[in-house]
Amino acid sequence: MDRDHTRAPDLADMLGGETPDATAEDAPSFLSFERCGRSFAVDAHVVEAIVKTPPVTSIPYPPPSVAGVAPVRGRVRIVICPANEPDTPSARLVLLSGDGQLALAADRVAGIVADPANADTLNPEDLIAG
Amino acid sequence: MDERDLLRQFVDEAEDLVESLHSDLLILSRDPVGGLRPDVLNRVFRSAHSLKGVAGMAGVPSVQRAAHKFEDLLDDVRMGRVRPGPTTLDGCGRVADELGRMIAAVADGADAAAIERDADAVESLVAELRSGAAGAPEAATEAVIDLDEKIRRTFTEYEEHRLQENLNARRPVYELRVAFDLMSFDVGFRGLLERLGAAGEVIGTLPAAGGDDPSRIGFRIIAATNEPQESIDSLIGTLGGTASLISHYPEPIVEPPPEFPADGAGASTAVSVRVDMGAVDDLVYLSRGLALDVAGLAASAEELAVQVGMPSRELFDLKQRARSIERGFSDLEERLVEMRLVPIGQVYGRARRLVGRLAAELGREVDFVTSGEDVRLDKAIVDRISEPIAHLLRNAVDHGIESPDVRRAAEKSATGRIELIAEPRGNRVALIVRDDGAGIDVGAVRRAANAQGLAADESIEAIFAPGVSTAGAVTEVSGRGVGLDAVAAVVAALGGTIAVETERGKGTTFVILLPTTLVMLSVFLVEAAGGLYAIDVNQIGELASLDATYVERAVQATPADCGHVVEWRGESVRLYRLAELVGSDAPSKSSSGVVQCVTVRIWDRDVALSVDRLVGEREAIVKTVGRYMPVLKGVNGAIDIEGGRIALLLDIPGLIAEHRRLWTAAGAGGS
Repeated sequence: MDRDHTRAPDLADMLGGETPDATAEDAPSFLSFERCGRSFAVDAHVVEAIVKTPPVTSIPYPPPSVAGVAPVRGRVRIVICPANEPDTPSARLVLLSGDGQLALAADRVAGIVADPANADTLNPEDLIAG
Repeated sequence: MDERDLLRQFVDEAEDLVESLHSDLLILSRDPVGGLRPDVLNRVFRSAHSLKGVAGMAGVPSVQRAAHKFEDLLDDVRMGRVRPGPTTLDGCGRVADELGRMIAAVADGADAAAIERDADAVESLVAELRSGAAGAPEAATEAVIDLDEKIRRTFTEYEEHRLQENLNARRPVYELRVAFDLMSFDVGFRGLLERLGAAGEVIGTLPAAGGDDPSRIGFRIIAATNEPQESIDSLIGTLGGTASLISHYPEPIVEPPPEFPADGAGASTAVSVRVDMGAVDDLVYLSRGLALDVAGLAASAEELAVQVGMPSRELFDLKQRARSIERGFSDLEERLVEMRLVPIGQVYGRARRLVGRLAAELGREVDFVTSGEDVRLDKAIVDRISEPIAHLLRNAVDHGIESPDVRRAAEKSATGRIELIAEPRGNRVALIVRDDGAGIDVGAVRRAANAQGLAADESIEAIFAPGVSTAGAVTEVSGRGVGLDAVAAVVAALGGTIAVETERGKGTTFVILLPTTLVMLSVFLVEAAGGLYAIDVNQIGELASLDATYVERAVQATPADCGHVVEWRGESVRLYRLAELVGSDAPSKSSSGVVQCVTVRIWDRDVALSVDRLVGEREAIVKTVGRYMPVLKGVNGAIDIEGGRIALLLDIPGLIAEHRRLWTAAGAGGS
């Protein structure tokens, strides 16, 4: 994939310095995480932050992958479960940047990797559109 | 910044520029006396120029090309190389409309080839405007001007043109010499230019010697004005300067044309900054979040104070301080929300051109009258209501106003009248579209409604119901039903209402009532299926308690797709369980044998929603759920509730529509 990224984001920044797996800034560019026993990866450059999951409010007639909405840092985020198991509570939310106000439900954040070969790579645009 | 951010920034800026084009063209169209106002014409030129620039930066060559052609035309007009004809302004408005459509197409990701074709259309339109315009005017040879030739040679082409235009208009031209203190000259100089701009026109300014005092800086200003010379002498005299009349004409000046209105636009000194709407919303949310935190903190502090036995005087002070902070946040919120408001007059220019063009095409004579241009509404509302307004105006010209012959035969003035009015009504705004045309055939609407299976006693407002505006009904109601359901849908989605009054032969009035803003809203909170939901109080008719046994019988007797039929105040009302509407199969709760309900006005009728609990009313800040909100059915936003929770603001018509759709789909699948 052709990318014009000069610096990969630091996982420690995303987590407020809480978790260790931060790697050198020149190599990786995917955030890897687990959800419902599966591994997923998302372009690290579209990740705004990782937070503890606040209370999630259900919405009427949700698309299959949408767990609901949750207030995070003053904004309302649409919470998406990439494993399509929206009723299973998650430990963390991976907040995505941009005006989509999307968040990915995650059970465990594995770290930032260069090659997401063993994970399903997610395109945030496709997640909500189904 | 990635490509999408760049494109979004372009669309934002380009939309602003097109809005400026429209509002300035409207000012020009209203003030044709004495020619086009040069300051406003300059602004129009600059907007087109800036549009070309931002399109180039964002890599949108089609818009860049179209704006460039428009800019060239405007430059020739402001320089006097092309003299505008009677249709030039209207044509410029059409160009601005086209540019607006191109930008919307870019925002929607439309096919580049199609947008290129739109640019071709703009180019053709500009060429057409050029061919309809006159050539350059003849210079005023009879005027004599006492101005040092060296100074005149420093004039730009534009300044020279403006000097000539003022001489042609026989407006007295002055050379003013004035000096200001070096430390504050910018303020004094700007103030003087504003004053002169309001009284006439500043043609040019040049630095000049400030006299012997090195702490002063001098200016020479060439200005034209019809103000009496004594006023100019007095104005400059108070600044310690001199004014000399430098224009002379062979004969005395008779009846000078009226001066430009002093709207502060004489010299561009506005201090403003572009702020992303999302950033303003973030500040509103932050303010509301802090207010809720303060309320929570105050409650905890009060509990603690009571526990430790704080004296009542100190406890009172504590509460007062907490309330003061809450009031401060509330004021902050209101001011931030006001930043989202823009004058509704933004859509009037387009409306005027639409009515003018349609009237000409259809052979109608129409006097189009507007008022309330300054009434302010949330920008998001103004953006979305412009098409419904255009729709009502199209109907008014096409089907309301009769042909001049028909009007004369009906002993009416051959010229029809269409009004577009905006007026504040409490915390809402009424937009009124009124015509004095043929009126709507109410009987025909009822027959059309019946044909669609609606009750026979439906009022004229059935015209807004989906289905009445089908092709079969169009002929009978003279087309007045076409698309009115779409108008009503937009109004409802904005939390507004629409009503119509009509009288055969006298005319029709549509009244759209809208909230001022989509961000700050009075909502009523209800509980259903374990969740907390908010309903815009302006949509609520009343709160009611129905007998639980009676409701249960009604639920058993009628299917849920179109609501269960209950009798309420002597009328049949459709009742929906809110829990069902939000997709929950949780059983309804009732206490003391009653079911709590709210009635909500939808289209022309009330529907009742049964809920588990009526919580209460509050002022709320409505948060958007972002770009993908349309994917979520029946949700218009979210509001913060104490304890870090949120309540969904419901779009009741959207919920009912989705409920029916799923019910029908399930039925179809089952059969």
